[in-house]
Formats: sequence, C-alpha cells, structure tokens
Amino acid sequence: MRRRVPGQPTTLVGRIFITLFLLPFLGVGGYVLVTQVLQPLLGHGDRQWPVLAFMAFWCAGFLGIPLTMLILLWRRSGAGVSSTIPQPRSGQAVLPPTTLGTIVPRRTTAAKAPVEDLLPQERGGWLGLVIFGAIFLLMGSLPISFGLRDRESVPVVFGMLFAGVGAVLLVAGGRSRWRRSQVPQVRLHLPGGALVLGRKVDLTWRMEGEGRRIEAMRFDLLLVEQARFTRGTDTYHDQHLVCEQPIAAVPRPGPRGQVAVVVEDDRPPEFLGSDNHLLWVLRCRIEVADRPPIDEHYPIPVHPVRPSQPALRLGGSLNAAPGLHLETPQVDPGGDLHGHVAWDLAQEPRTLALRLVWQTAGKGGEEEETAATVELPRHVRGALAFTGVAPTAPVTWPGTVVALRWMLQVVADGAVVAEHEVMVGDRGSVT
Amino acid sequence: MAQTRAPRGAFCNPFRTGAVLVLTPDLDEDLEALAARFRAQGRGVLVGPHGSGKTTTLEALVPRLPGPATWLRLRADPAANARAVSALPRQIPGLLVIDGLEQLAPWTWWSVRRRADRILATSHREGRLPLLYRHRTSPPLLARLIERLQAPVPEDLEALVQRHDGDLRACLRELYDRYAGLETT
Repeated sequence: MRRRVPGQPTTLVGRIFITLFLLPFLGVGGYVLVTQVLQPLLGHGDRQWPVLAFMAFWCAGFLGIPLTMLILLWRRSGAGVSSTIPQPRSGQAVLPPTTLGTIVPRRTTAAKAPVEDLLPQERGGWLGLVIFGAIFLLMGSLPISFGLRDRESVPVVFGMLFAGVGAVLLVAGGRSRWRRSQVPQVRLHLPGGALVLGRKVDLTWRMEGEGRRIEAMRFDLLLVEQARFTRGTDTYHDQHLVCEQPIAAVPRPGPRGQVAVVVEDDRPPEFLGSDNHLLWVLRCRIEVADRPPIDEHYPIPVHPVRPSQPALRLGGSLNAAPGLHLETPQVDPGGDLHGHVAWDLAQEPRTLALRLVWQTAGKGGEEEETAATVELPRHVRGALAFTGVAPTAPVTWPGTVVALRWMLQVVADGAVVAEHEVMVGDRGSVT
Repeated sequence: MAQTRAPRGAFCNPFRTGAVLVLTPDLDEDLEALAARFRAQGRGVLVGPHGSGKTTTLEALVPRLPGPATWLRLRADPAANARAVSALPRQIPGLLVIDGLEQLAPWTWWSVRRRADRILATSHREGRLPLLYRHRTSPPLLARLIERLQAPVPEDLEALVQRHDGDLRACLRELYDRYAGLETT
C-alpha cells in the first residue's frame, strides 16, 4: 500500500482530472434529463414541485464542483495544516521507502493550529466519495421516483445510471472510511521540529484508532551519509549508515507517552548540500499484532548550539615564507582562527583574496562553497597575519560516501595559489 | 579477490567522482580528428552503452568546435526533459549539444532538430543523426582508466566488467566501495 504524501501534485491533478471527466458526463446527462424529463413534467401542472427539487439538486451539483475544486486548492496550499518537520521527500531521501500505508494517520482537524505531527496528513477522500455518491443517487432517483417508469424510458435509464454511479461511490466512500477506522494510528510530535546538539527534547506519541493493536515501539536516531551523482542520463543514489543511536524501546505503549531524545554535542550537525547530505534520521519501528513490523524514517534537522557565520579579518604585516600557516590546524566549531598568509607572485594580480571554503568529495557530485572571504592587498608579494571565526556547521567530516573539509585558500585572479586545511571539530584530517 | 579494508576517507579514494570526472577520453581516434570530422559533417552522434564515456568525449569535444554551444542535458525523466526542451530558443545559433538523445520522444526530436543547423549528441543507439563515433568498453580499457587514477587494478577485472554489462562507470563505483571498505566480495 502506498502512502500519500501531503501536497503531492498527482493527488490534486488526479482529482481535477476526475472532476473534469465528470463534467461532460453531467452535461450530456443534464441535457437529456432536461429535455426528456423536465419538458414532460412541465406539461403537468400537478408535478411542479419535483421539477423544482430536481433543479435544486442539479444546481447544487454544479455549484459543488467548483466549490470542491476551490477547497482542494486551498488545502493544497497548506493553509489548513502545517508541519515544522519535513516529510521524507521522495526525490531527496534515498532511505528505504516508508511503509506508512499500513498505519494510516487520520486527517487532522486542528486547522490553522501548528500541527507538528510527523505523520502525513491524510486527505479526506472518503468524504468526497460520499458527497458525490449522495448527489448522484438523489439526482438519479428523481426521475424514477416520480412516476416516469411507464412513460419515458430514456430518463429512467439515465436516472438508473446516475443512481447506480451514486450507489457505487457511496459504497466506496463507506468502505474507505471503515478501513481507516480499523487500522492503528500513531502520531509523533517533536517540539520545535528540530534538535539542537546536546539538548534534550521530548518526543511524544499519541495513539488513535485501533492503537491498542500496537505491541511495541522502538525509536532510534540514525546518522546517514547520502550522495547523489548525475552523469549522462544516469543518476546514482548512495547512502551509508554511519551509526545508530538507540533512544527508547516501549513495550505495550499506552495511548500517550514521551521519550527523551538527545544528540550528544560531540556528534556532527546535519549537512544538506545539493548532492551530498549528512542526515539525522529518526527511525520509528512499530510492531503491530498480525502484521509485519513497520519502519518509519523521518529526517530530523539537527543544528549546532550557537550557529555562527565564519569570518576572516586581516592583521598586521610581518615577515614570513610564502604559504599559509595556521597556529592551530584544528579548531572547535565556532572557535578562533589565527594564522598568517604570505605570497610571492610572478606578477601583480588583478584580484587577490584569502577565503575559507568547504568542499565535499565521495560518491556524490563534488561541491564547494565559499563561507568567508577577505581581500588581500594586490601586491606581487606580501605577508599578513589574519584572525577569524571558524564555522559551527558543517564540521569537517571524514566520511565514507560523503566527506567534507574546510580549506583556507589564497586565490589570485581566480586561481588557487596556496591552500591549507582547517580541521573544524575533532574528527581529524580528511586528506 | 578483493579484500576487506578498513574504511577510508572519501578524499583519499582514487575512485571518487571528482577524480573520475577529470579523466580524459580514451578513444581509438584522436579528438582533433573527431572534431574535424564533425566540422565536415555538421551533425553527428556519439553512440555507446551506459558508462562507456560518451559524455566525457562530448565534454572534451565541444571546446574544440567553433561557435557558441547550447547544451541540452536529458535525463530519464520525461517531465524534466520537456521543461529543458521548452527552455530552448526557437533558433539556436551555433552548436546544439544533446546529451542523451534517445530520451527525446520522436515528436519532440522532430521539433528540436529544426532549431539548430549543427547538432552534436550522445545516444545509446544509432539513428536520427549520422554516426560520429561508437564507444566500446572492455576490461583493458577499464584497466587503463584505473591506472590513470593511480589505483591498483583488481584481479577480477573481467568479471567486474561482465557483472556490470560493460558499464565502466558502474565498475568504478564498485571499486570505490571496495576501496572504502564498503564491500567485501
């Protein structure tokens, strides 16, 4: 069973398609019914009220279609629900596909209130089926109910067709609603929707529906490297599980409860590049009676304690051999950088700068981004001291599928003439 | 047989994508001769299976051709391809470079081919454009690439190429995993 993700365009497009598909059907049926039913009925003065009733239903049906579409569009815009925790995105997450279809959450009724549920919001498809089914059934039953059975065969056939479609829709809607009431449902809630390194947060759960069928729940935090590489017409996805951090195992969970979640401050914060990710993922394993266990994966943003922007500042001039020198090649995230830079170029450069960049390597497309830059005097040679602030995120990561390093570089006319690795964090050099 | 290795950092891995991408094409024909032949033809396609170096050859060839080049990079995603095609100008001055010509539907190709006089493309199969070069893969070619990456050539080279149906990119990615200690086959 496939899970439906909120805002998935196919859902809306599919519904609009169905609505547009119904319009000509309604139009043709309406034309036949008006010409074959209304005209004969209008010929009989004692049967005016069924005609008015029929027209009222007909108008309601035509008003209902644009109204339904407007409601769908409004709900698609996310005005009614919000979540501070990103759902697993199909295009991005290379994690195993979620199996939420077995545990279907109910559609939230807390409209306009912050709903930080981790589980996706289920759309009320069954309600639409029931409403359309009722309209069709009533419209179809009119020509049958008011004595046309013996006189007009065409309206009766169309009436039966409408009534039949309505009955099928009603049954389908009722079956969908009943099936939803039978499955156990779990809602997870993480205050703030994110974690901060070293800070404890209570993850709460709430059972709904047949939640008593859940025999055990287990929560783990996974640190995962993900890489994407596109070449030619092929795109490759790779991931590597770095570590698993157990959070809690809850046998026979009650209707409500909470567990403490904390990522130790010696762990790395998340890193989200274009093709390379270092992700923290909450894995919720649910064991349900008479069903295979269910694994759910939710990427959880994990931020550093005090996010800060890296910076570089130039100091006084000095005498030094050409190159880059750092007093401490390893710095703590957000710590101070001290060093000096000396250069001796063949000719006077048009641009000369000292910059701090991060670079990735591994199985994904390689990325590079400049975090801080300071311009150097455009002389052929020179030597200056510099200070700076190291970044708090991302940190140096000597990973297997994804690796990240920070480099100090002297760039003259766009070309790197000297560089030196800065180890941000205590995980060692990556080169 | 590959041996189990202790995990090593990605920057040290000779099979990392950054190292593989800077490899120059290994062709039977000189690139300049290929460029001269394209200049004479005006249109041409580089044909070969997955991971045979078509895109690498294309990227090396285009700078050797005169005039501006408009790139059309196609994926196995019809919607994205439709967006990419719709973003193309009606009349393309200079060269139109298409990576993944086989991804274009016939009617889209009919529309695209009229927009440029000179078209250079890669494709998994012949047709649509005159053949410019046919890429072939082999264990010796993979061995040469590995040597250029300054990495040890595995003993099971032939089996590796066979297992990946001649897709050298997939072979190099498996070798990355082996080097990183991700696989112990």
